[in-house]
Amino acid sequence: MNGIERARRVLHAWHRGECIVAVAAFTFIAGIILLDVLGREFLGRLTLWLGIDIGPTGVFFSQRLSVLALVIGSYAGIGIATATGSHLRPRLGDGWVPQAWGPAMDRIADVATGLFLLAATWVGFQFVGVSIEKEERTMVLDWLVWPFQLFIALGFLSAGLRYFVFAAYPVLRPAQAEGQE
Amino acid sequence: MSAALLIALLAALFLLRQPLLIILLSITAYVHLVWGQGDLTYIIDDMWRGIDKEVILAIPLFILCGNVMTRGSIAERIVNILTALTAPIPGGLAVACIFSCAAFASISGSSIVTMLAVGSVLYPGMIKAGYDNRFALGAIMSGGTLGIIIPPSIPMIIYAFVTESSIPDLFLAGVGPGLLLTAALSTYSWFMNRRMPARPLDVRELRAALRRGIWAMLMPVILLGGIYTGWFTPTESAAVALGYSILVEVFIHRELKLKDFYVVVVDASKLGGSLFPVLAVALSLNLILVENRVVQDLVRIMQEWIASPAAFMVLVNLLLLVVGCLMDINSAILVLAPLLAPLAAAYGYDKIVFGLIMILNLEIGFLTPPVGLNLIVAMTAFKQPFGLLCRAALPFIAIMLVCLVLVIWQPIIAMYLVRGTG
Repeated sequence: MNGIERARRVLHAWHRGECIVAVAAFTFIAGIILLDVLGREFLGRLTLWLGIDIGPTGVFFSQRLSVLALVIGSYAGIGIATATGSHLRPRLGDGWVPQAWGPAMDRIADVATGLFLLAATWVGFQFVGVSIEKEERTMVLDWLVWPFQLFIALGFLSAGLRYFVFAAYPVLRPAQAEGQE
Repeated sequence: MSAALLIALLAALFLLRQPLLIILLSITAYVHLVWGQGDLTYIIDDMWRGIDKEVILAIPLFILCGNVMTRGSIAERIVNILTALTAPIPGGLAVACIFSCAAFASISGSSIVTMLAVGSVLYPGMIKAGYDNRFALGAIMSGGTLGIIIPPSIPMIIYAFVTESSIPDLFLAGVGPGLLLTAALSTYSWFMNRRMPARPLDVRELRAALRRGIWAMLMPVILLGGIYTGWFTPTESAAVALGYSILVEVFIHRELKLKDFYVVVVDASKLGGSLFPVLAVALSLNLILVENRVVQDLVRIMQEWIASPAAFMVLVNLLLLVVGCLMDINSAILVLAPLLAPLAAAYGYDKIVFGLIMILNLEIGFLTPPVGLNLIVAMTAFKQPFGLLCRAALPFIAIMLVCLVLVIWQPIIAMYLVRGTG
């Protein structure tokens, strides 16, 4: 197995792992908010209509929990967007260099993006360190926030490392997505 | 000197083909280092606090909902109802195309999703029925843009988020301009195809289409009705719409298997991964700009140079039309809305009306090269040359510009429902 094939397999497994995390996070968000609404607006009203008071029927703190899941899903999503070439990118400067330089520019761009993201990772870990020191907690739930904040730094790290792999093996670089909105 | 360096940094980042995330991170870091306290952990702190708001949850839920509907047959069923209804009109299929886009827009918050969902059904149908290829492409691409004007709309949620505006008010403000655009585009579609054959209304066909499509047509009632009766917040409404669309597509239409949900969510994650971190950095940048009174200074400088609100509006519209050609709508809103909305307010424009004007301008950008997303996606989806697509969009762009001018001239078109409920 050559280097490219090995890198391809690693990236594939890595991508799969991030997809599973993101799918779990977004499914959780959709599920818990839906359960909250159904419980509160339908089950609660139905039981009251039947003359049975079973107390609050919504899911406590569903939106708070969802925001935390969104942080996890979004920062796992940075890796997914990187793996699929889906990052928003202004193409303003693409025409500033001859078209023939395109592949070389892409490679330089990947190294530069990787470096920027590694710097962001470093700052992210510093931020998490401060949060651990201060024992910062979430609003309402009163949970320690650093395990969730860690996903920000990990998201940057994952994307940054992936850009270095693309720079090393341009054949693994995904085509830029046509556009998202 | 510092400002010149910032511009040089920006140019270098464009040249180095950096993603918007990196561009915003770099600018924010520069502002912190040069004009702030130099502690870069504040960026991540602001990013964390910026995204730690419950209203943001509406975005992934509407994205998920749009993805479920694109994979299922909700669009096809809506198209069938409107095709049956417009059959007696000459050029009925063209009118049905615009009406279908408008109807689908009331359950989808995205332009591309609307264009693909309706276009994949109606484009082959229009070509088979003898409609002009260029017209059909223009109608589908421009009809698709209704997806972000008629509520729900993802760009409206982003605008509301970065300018601290009300999502329900923005949604309500989108109804008037959305209907105006629908009326203008469908009238043009009828006029251009008035010599196409019509056929009498087939009540049996209409009844069958209604029976097949009733569950799809109930969707906007649940989604928007839930918000405006006060039953649901926009976030809850998006969750209910998502649950409903899964239920309908899996158990009633039987077009979607539960395992397809994995692909749907991964698709949503791609968009989430590219959007939310950028949103968080944009919020961090906005905070440091506010802290350094950049927005207030900008307002002061602008008012020294431009006294008339009308002149300001003309300039802003020109700027937004150019930006729409060069940037995608979400990036443009994230970067410009926090700067332009306070400026517009200083000139006496309501934040909600200005949001609508901004989105109407950027909506036109979906049809203009070089980064008109509907053009680019249509090129792949309908396998047509880019030049033809650009030419096909031209008359529709002219109509949309007229509608934009009408909304600026008579903001009541957007604000009628907002004031009525306020």
